[in-house]
Amino acid sequence: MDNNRTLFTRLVTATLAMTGACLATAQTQADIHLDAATRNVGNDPFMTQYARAFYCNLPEDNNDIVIASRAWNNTTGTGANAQYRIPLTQIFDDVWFIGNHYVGQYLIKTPSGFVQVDSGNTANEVATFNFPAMQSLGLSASYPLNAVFLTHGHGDHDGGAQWLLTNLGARSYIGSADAAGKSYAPVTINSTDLSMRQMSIGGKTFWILPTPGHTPGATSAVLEVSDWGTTRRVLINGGQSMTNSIPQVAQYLDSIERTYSMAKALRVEGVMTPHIYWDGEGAKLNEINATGRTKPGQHIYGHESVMRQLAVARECSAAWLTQLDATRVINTWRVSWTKVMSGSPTANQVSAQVTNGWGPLAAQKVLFTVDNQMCTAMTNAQGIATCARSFTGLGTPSGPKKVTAAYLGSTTSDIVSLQSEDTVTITP
Amino acid sequence: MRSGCNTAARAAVCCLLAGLLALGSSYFDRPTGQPAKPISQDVRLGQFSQRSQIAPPAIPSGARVDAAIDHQGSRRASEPAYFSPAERQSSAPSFKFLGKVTEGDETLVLLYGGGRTLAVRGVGPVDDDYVVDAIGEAYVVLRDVPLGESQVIQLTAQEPTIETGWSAENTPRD
Repeated sequence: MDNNRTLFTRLVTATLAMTGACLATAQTQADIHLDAATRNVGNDPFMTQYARAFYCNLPEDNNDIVIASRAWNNTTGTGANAQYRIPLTQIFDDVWFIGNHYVGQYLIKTPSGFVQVDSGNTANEVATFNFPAMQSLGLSASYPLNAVFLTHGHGDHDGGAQWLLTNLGARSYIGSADAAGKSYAPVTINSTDLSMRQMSIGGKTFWILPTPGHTPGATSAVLEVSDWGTTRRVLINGGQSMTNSIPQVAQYLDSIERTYSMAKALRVEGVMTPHIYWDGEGAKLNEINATGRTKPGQHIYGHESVMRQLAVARECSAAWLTQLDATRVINTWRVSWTKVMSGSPTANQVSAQVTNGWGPLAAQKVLFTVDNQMCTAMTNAQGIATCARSFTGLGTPSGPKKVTAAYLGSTTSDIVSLQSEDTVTITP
Repeated sequence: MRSGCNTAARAAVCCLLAGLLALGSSYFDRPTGQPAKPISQDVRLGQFSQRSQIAPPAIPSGARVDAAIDHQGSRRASEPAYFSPAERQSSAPSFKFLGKVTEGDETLVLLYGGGRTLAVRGVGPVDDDYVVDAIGEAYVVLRDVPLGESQVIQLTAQEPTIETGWSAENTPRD
């Protein structure tokens, strides 16, 4: 009887184990990437509610959230959806937002005049809202609107470009692949050259990155803004929604990877997205209008958060691409978190832990920098790397002021473990 | 998500049945006293060794050339994607040219690949893992120090793949 019970228990246990193993291998590529998008969010409810939900809306088949947001596109300030208008709102020392909860424009003040990001939905909208807004901020013959940067050629982004040209003489800049047939004679940004480059638009320096995918001429950019006197870099995403075309989504995926690298290289800290519902900027604008600008400003999400959001977007687009084309196998990007351990460094050692949404990262190299003194160590099973050495001057007033732990990332054919770092200030 | 769940549910049922059948036969075939092997580990090790036998592409003059790299960075290998980094042998990411940035008097060449961004200032170490062995107007020779592999990266702009007829007019907004 005992033998039979043991046999039965083994059978059940082994069957469950095998079923679990089968399930693991039965997971589709799209499932794997959606799971990665979720884990990369890192229990951040704001990112779950906005960036994670919207970037993954197509593979999760709930495009309703995007379609519903179109109802917020009030261009007149009247009617049932007038509540979705957002008044002129200062977000940085030199940047104002105006628009609605679906789409908006950014007015940037430069020493020689305004530069606007996107041109509104219609001529009437720009005449009704943007023109008076610029007047209230000092628009004049000697302080004109110098130029308009268009993220792409959809009507909700370039619908007011002709009015701005006709009435204010402002030329629009747009990716060349979206320029065909445009009445407002845009200056074109070469969409067939995917390299990132600096470009002056209306006297403002833009780091331009053509990011085809949403449209063929979509262009992303990084700008420097002033936030309470501090220069910070913000990302303008050229376009978010994906299409149903496999080559176009593949192009989108490449674009989001390049955007990630641009934001990483330039240490972008903030966002200025025209579709503000996409990454939660609408909620930030509501907060500014209710309680004022914070310091740093609400649109400064922090470098780590911007990078994580882009990694989530990358995984969502990989999920959509592999759902459209089930034969594709795409490696998974995993966001990592490096944290200098509490109480570290001590006189004789410095420690940090590296984790990701799957758990601690073992056998990974961490580079420690204590001012100019460096050492490396490997993480243990708990993801903790400890460098046992003394650091000259540590704990003295003239000694090291900060410690940085950097995990450089790793790459296998299946998984890209993304870089991360943490810096803490040392108080003697 | 709905289709993913259906697929997973179907797979679960099939696997459950297959698992029962396989278990029945394997259990009774197994010699008495011999411990059962963890099946998932066997699968992993088998796939791992198979992958490591894949020959690298031909390398002209000792360096991998960027142009040979899959444009999308995607792979069509028949490999599952669930391994912790510690379990797997590293593979060097393929880098491509992102652009150039001028900071003060200095021009940096930015490279990207495998989620990593490298800022190249000139010949010498880039970070703990990469060294630039040579740099010119149109190329960078980048060496992965741990793996000892070099890659020649052309500093020319990539061109997008744009389908005929693809325009802003025929794509959804948002």
